[in-house]
Amino acid sequence: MQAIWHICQFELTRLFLTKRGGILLLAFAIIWLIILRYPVLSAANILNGASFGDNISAFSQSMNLQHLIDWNYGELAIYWLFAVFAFPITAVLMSSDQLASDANRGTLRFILLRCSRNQLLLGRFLGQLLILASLITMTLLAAFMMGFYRDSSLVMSAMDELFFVGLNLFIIGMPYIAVTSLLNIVLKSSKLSIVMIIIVVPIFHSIVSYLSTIIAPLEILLLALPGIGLFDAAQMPAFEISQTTIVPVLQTIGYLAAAQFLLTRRAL
Amino acid sequence: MSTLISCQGINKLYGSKQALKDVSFEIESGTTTALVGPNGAGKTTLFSILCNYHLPSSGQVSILGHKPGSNALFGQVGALPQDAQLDPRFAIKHQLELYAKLQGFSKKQAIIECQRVLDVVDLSDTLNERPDALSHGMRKRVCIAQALIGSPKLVMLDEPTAGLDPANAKNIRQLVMDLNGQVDFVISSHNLDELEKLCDTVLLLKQGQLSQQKVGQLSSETSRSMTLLLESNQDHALAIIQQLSSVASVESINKQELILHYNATQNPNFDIELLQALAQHKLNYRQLTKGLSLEQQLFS
Repeated sequence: MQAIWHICQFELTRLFLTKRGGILLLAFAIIWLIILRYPVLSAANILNGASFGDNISAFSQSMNLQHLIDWNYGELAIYWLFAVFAFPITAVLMSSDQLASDANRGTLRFILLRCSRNQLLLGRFLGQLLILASLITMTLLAAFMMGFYRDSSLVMSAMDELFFVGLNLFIIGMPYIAVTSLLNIVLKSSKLSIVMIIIVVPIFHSIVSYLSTIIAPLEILLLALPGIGLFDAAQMPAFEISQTTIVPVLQTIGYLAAAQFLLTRRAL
Repeated sequence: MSTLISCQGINKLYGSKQALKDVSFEIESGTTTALVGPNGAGKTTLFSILCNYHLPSSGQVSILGHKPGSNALFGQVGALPQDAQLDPRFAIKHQLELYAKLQGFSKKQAIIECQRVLDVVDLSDTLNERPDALSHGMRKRVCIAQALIGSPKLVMLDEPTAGLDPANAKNIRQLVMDLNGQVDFVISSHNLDELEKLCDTVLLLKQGQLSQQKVGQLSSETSRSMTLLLESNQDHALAIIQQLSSVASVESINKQELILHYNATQNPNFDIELLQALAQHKLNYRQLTKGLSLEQQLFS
């Protein structure tokens, strides 16, 4: 366990103490500053407006977002809407180089003289989870503080929402980190891993979705793809644990098991 | 002496290509072992199997009584894998500290240990540098330093002096000599002169097969031979040496280098007789080596 913890801690320094990590953090901060400054800050006015329900229905029938009106904290509702799509991409970008560069450079060879491949895989995965958790916490608290300044009387009633938004975002991000671990081992490239998840997975998703309209059992293949329940998650009240949160957990276990299987057999 | 490394029937296949063919050997502790062979012979493959970077297709490997990659070997085995580099994004200190902590050092002890191993390779002032700020030779020495963290029992070095200037190569050779006795080394290299100075056991790989295992420098052939390197333009030397009573035969490697086979029973002090004869005939020599050179032993 101690080795896993040391590797996990080192992943944190990789983000917070290296130039590449700094650039990623800066980009992340700018994007979230824009999200928080504009849509989230004006969330209360939008959501509390009398015509919001009508407008949102007219806006989209497929994106059933009317439940957002039910949230106590308008800021958190809008935050959730953005975060549910933004954090999976963030997780992929932040964790895209879990093993690939170190394997290509030979640095893993130094590490593997001192820990097992399982410890390495798990340590790096948990490190990325910690990074994801810290990024979610920071942005979530920022959104929460905005609501607090608007109307501090809502704070206590928003605690459940705050907790479940954070937890759900964390769970939604998990399979993306795990699948990046797996792709790092298979493709041996961080860039290809990103391309695979952001471009190839959606294309594959579309093809399988189309084919499943002809051969229905093929639909089960979609369960293997990360982000399968992302739209459902956006539509659900975030303070619920439902099937859309169980699937990512199962996917994470599946991806990690596959990564472990391949890593323990691969030449490094 | 206990067994340091034991390999039994190791085979390694890359697709249809067989990199190692039924390789079996044992190395006792207290030895420095050379792993030699031409390019593509399987040296790095064998090295990688010993370090658990590659898995053998078949066969058994045991290091200090454990399978490669076992938890029991963490901290007991150090290695310098060929071409492996430290992460250029982190200071050397950060990386060596992580390695030390993975071996069970506390944070405070890890800092002291990093300083110690960098002192050993004479690079203590590079602790806060990033690897890409160092020269190739310095980076190699830092990589050797990581192999020494925790004073392992066995250190495996794959081409430790490849691509280094003579001064850096000498430093590394000196380092191995200094640590001889405290650490058992396995060194893979093409530099036979270097290995001759450092090693007492030789594993020769050819086309994936272990064709020869020499244990110790003093094989019976070696104990009855000397290698003489003369100054140039002394063509008459061969005839003079052949006339010495103890000389059984003389092999001329080239105009300057001769291998002398002699009767050790008849004259155990042949080297003194030879030097006297050289002095008497005013023959100048550069080097007189007892036994055959490693190159002669392996490839003649």
